[in-house]
Amino acid sequence: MRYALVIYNDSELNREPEDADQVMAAIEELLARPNVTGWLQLAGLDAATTVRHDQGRTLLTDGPFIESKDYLGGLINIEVDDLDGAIAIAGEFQAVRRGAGAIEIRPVRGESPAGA
Amino acid sequence: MLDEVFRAHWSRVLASLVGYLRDIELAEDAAQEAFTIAAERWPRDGTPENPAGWLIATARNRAIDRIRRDRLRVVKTEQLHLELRLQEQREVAVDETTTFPDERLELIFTCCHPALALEAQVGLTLRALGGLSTEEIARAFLVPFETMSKRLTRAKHKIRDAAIPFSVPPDHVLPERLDAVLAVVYLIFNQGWGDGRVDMAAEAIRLGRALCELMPDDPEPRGLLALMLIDNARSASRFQRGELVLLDDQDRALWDDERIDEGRTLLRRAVALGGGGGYALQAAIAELHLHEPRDWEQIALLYLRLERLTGSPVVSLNRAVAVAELEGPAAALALLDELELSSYRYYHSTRGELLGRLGRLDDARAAYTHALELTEPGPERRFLAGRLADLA
Repeated sequence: MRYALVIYNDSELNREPEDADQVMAAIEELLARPNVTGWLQLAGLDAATTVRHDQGRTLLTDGPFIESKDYLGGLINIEVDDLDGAIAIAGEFQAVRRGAGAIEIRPVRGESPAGA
Repeated sequence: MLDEVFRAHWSRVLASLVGYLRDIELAEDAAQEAFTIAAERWPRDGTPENPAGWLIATARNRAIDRIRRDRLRVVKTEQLHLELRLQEQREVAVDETTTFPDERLELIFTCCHPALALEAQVGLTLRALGGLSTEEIARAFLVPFETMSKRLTRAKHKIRDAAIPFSVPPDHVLPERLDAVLAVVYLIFNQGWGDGRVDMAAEAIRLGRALCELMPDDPEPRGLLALMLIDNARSASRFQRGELVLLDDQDRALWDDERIDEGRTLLRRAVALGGGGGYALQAAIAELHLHEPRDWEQIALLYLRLERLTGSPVVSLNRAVAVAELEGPAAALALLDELELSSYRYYHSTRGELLGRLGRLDDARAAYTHALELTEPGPERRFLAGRLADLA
């Protein structure tokens, strides 16, 4: 069974550089697990552009679609037996992130692998 | 007669079918079909020797027919998955002589999975394990039939689509998952939902018995069942002509001695199995309350243990009541002052009681008035109003 772990970051969190490196190293270790089939890390919201379509025109706004304290930071694809397997991995990620933000677990639809 | 058959076998049959089909909706349809066939045949041909086996075998065969006939009902991947499973098992023909394992425990853990909303857990448990109809559950929750039906359907789909496991959790998560199961059962017991047409306390006790049977070495289900039995044994004495009667004034002749004895036996067993969890402690406290005179020292001690275990201010409030008996109302009042429970009506009624005993009548009146504001009209409110009037 395939799941996406949708990673939300807390924009109010400012880690010391040393701290951030430690967290990143722990995350990379988890990403190397055989259950993890792919992942992508998104750049910060400052680099986001939102596209809409209105009356034949493409409209752009600087910034994310939804402004909120928590923002989408990345996606991790995993392959596990069931939801408990996904909860266990998400729990490990949250533990090394020391509780910052949250992770949403979403089952992945369809048979083709999501190229990440 | 068939009602009894249904009650006796529904959860076993359904659990076995969920284990086989991995889809609660399909399993329910198949089980219902088998019960309908039984209702038609058994009175005519006689009840089979192994009724559960007959029902499971019939339901499985019907489910296979139905899936082959009605493929559009199942979306593609699930259909593949199901057909694979069915192919694997095709050679093994089942009939009523087949021994099917009891998979009710797996079903309980699925229904009470913490990834489901609590109200969905409660509803599913009543439906799948208790065999209540959606209509009965809707009445118990005081919500329209459609609302409950949607809630249950959504939960069943989530179990299927998110692959919530159908299994007894491994040891490292078992304690917390069992806590979730026990919480659902106790909620059903305690909530007093509904219009009284469905006896929720009786349902909870039935579930508690099933859990004890399925987990013979675990103390906590015994603690919970003991607590429910001892508490329920006094239900007939709690009201007299519609008015609330306090424990000290209750007519002991109305207590159900059989339930109390059973509760005591279970409590001893829970303790023997090493049970020191929240439910065993509460059961032990409930048991101590049956004695006259009451051993307040022991009661206060057990509340202290429960307080350390749960950190709940409601438990601290109960301990304060015991402390009032041991050390007087002033000591209890000091404990109450440290609690943040200002929206809890018993906090204020307890304060009123203690202040009254200290002769601080104005403060007592204010506390009772506050408690009254937080209480729905009914026997409890009339009782509080009576206390307030007595202070005059």
